[in-house]
Amino acid sequence: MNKIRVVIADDHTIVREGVRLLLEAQPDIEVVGEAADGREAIAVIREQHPDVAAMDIQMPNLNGLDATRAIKQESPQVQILVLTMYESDEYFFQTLAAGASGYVLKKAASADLMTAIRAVSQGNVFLYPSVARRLVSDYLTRVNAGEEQGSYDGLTAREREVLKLIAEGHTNQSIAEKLVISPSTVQTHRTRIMHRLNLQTRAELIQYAVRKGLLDSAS
Amino acid sequence: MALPRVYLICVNRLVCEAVTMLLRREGIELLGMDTDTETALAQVRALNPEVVLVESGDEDTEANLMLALAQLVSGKDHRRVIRLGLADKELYIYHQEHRRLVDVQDLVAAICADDVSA
Repeated sequence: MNKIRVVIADDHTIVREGVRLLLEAQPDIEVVGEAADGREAIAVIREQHPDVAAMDIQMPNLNGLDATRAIKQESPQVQILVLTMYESDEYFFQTLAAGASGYVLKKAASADLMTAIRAVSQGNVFLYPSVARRLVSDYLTRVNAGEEQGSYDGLTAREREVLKLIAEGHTNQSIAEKLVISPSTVQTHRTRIMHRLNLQTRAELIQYAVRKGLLDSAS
Repeated sequence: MALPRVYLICVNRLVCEAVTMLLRREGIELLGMDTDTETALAQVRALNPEVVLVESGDEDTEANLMLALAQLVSGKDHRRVIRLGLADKELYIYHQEHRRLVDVQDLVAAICADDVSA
């Protein structure tokens, strides 16, 4: 039986070593590397080619979100499983947009982590139930309000471009440079998009982009 | 010298299970653990461990728990409370010391300090 090869990226030594012991107690899982920050995670993954990377979000040098983006760009076959104590929409939708296949909270039991690792290693998505519930609830609210398609159709081509770039994490300055327009024009587009889609925060905007399938998995 | 007996209180279950594995590996006796603070406090009162290890993500939200634990160990020389701060990677040893957490041995050393052993 081929074991699932896992890299653990977490800046907290106690958590990292403890999780390693938990995973190594599983007959079908093998820990092939550890990393204490995002940069180290990229290097270890480049060297070990694991099936799954269990990635903390808040890490020094390079955070888990940026590391996930970089890893998915370089090694799209590696499945990223976010392992975090943060349950905020902002983190959740940004990590999905960055290409993560799963999101598990540290308040979960280790059995949930094992299930998640097995699921994402087979190309499936795993979301911790409380997080998945929020995603579904939000989706249903918007679908029931009948606002999805009509609102998006109302955006201009340029607004759709800006929407995608915002959701991918680009700043106004960065978008301005990419589209060769001024930052204030980007801000105008941004305000108009938020208004037309009835969105209040950047997290909601990212959520919207994920639902609409506007983001490439490697973006 | 007998190793101190530990009770573990965790906010995050996965951390709880991970720390349990580490303590067992180090041969430290774990009397029990819980993620519910009320249940945990009752267990600490009943089991009377030498060390209470508290994993906490946020010092403020755990203020009441730490106060209750401080009252439990107050006046007992051989008892101590250690708060393991996940966010700041620090060990807070109530009330006496504050140590930098670098690796597992820091945690083991804090638990097994000579003045704690019964």
